[in-house]
Amino acid sequence: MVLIGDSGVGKSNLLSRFTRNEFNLDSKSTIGVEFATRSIQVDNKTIKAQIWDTAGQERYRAITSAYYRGAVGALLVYDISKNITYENVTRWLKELRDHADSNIVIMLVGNKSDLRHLRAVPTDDAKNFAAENHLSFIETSALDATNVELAFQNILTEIYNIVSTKSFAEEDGKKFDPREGGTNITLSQEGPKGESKGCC
Amino acid sequence: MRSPAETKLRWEETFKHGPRISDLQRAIKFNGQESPCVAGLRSLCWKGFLLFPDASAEEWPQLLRQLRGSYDALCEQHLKYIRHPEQLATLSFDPLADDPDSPWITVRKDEAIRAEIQQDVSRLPDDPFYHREVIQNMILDILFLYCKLNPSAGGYRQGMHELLAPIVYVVAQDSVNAKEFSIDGLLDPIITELLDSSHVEHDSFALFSKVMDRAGAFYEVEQNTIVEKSKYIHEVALLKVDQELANHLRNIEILPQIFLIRWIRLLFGREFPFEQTMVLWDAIFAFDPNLEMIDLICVAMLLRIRWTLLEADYSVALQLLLKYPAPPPPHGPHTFVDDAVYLQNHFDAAGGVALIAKYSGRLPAAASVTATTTSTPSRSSTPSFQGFGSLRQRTLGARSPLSSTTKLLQQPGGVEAILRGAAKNVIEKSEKLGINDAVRDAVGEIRRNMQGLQEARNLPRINRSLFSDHPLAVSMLERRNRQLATMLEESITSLKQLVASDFEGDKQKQLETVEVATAKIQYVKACLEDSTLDLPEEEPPTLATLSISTHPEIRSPTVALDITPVVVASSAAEEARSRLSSPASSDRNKQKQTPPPAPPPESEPPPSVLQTPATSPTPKERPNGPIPTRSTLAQSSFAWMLEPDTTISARSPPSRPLSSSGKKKHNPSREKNAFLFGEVVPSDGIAGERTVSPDEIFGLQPIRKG
Repeated sequence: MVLIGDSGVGKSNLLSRFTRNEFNLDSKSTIGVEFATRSIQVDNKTIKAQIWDTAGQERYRAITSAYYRGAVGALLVYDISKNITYENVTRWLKELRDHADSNIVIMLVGNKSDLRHLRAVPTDDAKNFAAENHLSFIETSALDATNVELAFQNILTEIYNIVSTKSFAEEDGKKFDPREGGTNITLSQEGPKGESKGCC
Repeated sequence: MRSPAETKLRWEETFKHGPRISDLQRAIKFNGQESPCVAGLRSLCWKGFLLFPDASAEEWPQLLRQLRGSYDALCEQHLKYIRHPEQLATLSFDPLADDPDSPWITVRKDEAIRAEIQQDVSRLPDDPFYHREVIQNMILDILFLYCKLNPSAGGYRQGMHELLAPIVYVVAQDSVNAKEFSIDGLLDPIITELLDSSHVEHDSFALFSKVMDRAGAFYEVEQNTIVEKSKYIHEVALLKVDQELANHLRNIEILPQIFLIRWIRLLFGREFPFEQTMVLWDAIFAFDPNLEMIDLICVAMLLRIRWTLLEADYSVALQLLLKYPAPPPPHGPHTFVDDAVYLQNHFDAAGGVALIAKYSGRLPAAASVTATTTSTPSRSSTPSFQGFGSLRQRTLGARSPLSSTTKLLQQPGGVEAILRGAAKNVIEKSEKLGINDAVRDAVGEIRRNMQGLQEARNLPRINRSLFSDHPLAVSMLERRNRQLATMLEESITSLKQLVASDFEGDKQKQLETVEVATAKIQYVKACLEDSTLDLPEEEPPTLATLSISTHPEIRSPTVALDITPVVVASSAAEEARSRLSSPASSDRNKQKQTPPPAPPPESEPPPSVLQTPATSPTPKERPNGPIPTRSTLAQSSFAWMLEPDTTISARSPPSRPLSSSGKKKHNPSREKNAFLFGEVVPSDGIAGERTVSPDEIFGLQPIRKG
């Protein structure tokens, strides 16, 4: 799974909140990519999510565009207090449509919901946009941890459901069996870890 | 800001080892905490290494004045309206006009650039120094000016700010209030001028620009330099010194750019604590101001944690590489530069084994098998330090003459005599052919080259009796004989062909053939006379050898390295490698006395002659051996760019429980994964099989800028 979005919207802090329950107000800019994993329970199955945190700077898109081709899920993050980061969602979406797998599950995430007094992007606007574009939508705050767990849980569940449904359909009802020890869901499309690892 | 007394003390500390750059280099190399960068004035040392490498200390103030003057001019040109927006109003331009020449438009664009930079500058590391307003502005201005001056570089890139910030910190830390101190006569005017606190910004800009002359390429996006560089580090450099580790990283599908982007772009700034990083930078700027050894520093870092990496699966390895474990003292991060220098001079498996053994006391599996075999009777069933230790004991006698000259290990010794003979023969034969004039120069060149090698040739040999009491020695000698026979056969064949052609055709080419064949015959003769002589490497002379010659000043510090392990390890590694390589080249069981022969003068051997001892180094060529290239475009991740459908059709079925056999050797998913992090395919589409160009290796040429 990949975290994408403009520089400074809080991708790294969403990741650290989800994987380590940490938040750092002075977190440094991501250079290149970072990587973290966390296992969660979905439907009594353990899913080990590999999450890639990308640098938000536009010029990195040459690198990340190729990179998120392999992802099965994407959190497209904007900052609710900065309209420009919301405007750029369209561009990020286009990048995903152009380069990512067509079945990729995308969730639009309005981060920094704690900054209520600075809100620049109305929740309804984003909700409508998400609906039009068939995206899930949630507002989060990595700072106070609101909805972070829920966001990841939702998208991972969605991915799991798609994958396991396909598994039933295409393997004659053979029970999909996520494996223990880090290799849980196999997805056929190429990914940062391709067939051998994880689900995201 | 320091007191005048402390500054004075540090000034003296800085130059107590001598006034020259080479004195500073030596002092940094050998003085640890006493290093002029630590006990003295680090900023001054950096200025010396980066800005005035060829100037004497007396010239520094003058040169610095020039740099400062040009920075002032740049500020006037690019920052005028940003620093003084009120002046815009005095202009006759309409602020709302769309005139592209309008300074209003320029300022608006500039403000956007600055906002982008500011976003990162405000996210600099926690140190309160970086978050002072004046420092934030200074860093912003410098980065902004750099971007304005280098539009072709694509503007500001995340990471540049963390290269610049430490430079500003170091310069500011050493700075003194020039006006105050010089008036009071507290400090020498030269000191106050060089460390003038009102020029921290100017000097930081100069240092940063110099670093970015080379580091700029690491940020370049269009050519994807960083991905190619990462690939080179993994698939060429690491493979050469530690094949086992390179293969393991490939097998667990670690793509090197994942961690190398940050390592390299920040010059390791996030991998180590700040003070340690600064000591590392001291060493880099002192010995590698052009950042040509960055690749080998990365390799050295990988070697240092190779045992942990070898046991790691994908996730563990990634965590390890993205959060590099602190190297325990006294071998702090700066020792990676020592290792890189060492690897530069020993760019092969033996060099890798030596470094691995040096820091872990363990020998890689392949090498330790030989070590334990040869160190009878204390044979150990597991790869252990014991076998290595006993070998070390036995070769200790050979250590002193060796450690007195690194040349012995770097340069051909035995080959010298052969080539000298070859040169003589060439003259004799070419006179018969009537073409001696054409080649006399070339032969003279051979002779001149040989002069410098004479000494190494005459040095006492390492004790070779190691092998004589072992049955292995017999089979090794047999293999050696076979190889010598092959060489003779080749020479005879090429001479026969020449005779058959009745000396028609290109005389120069014929001469080359004769020259090479003769050299080979002479070489075989010498090898037969002296069984301790090594046979030539299959590989062309290493690329490192080339760059060594361009950096004689860097070479000297390596004298201090303990080379004993190399002597031991090379035999082990050679043996290990020989078992992997073809039979014809397998006989390299002896200590590495004669590394690859020197390049021939002015000529390349004809292609028909294989395995010539005189092979011109071809920088375009990759080292031999099983390099895990993502070989063809069709196999590579780029296949989708050729035919989008192929990858899709290959996806079958869409989901399936994973099996551990996913980690097979040529895992297709590795290829599929290879596009990760933007292996953007060059327009000519040969990314899968690209060759290594010299400027990517060790700075044979300046690194290309995008």
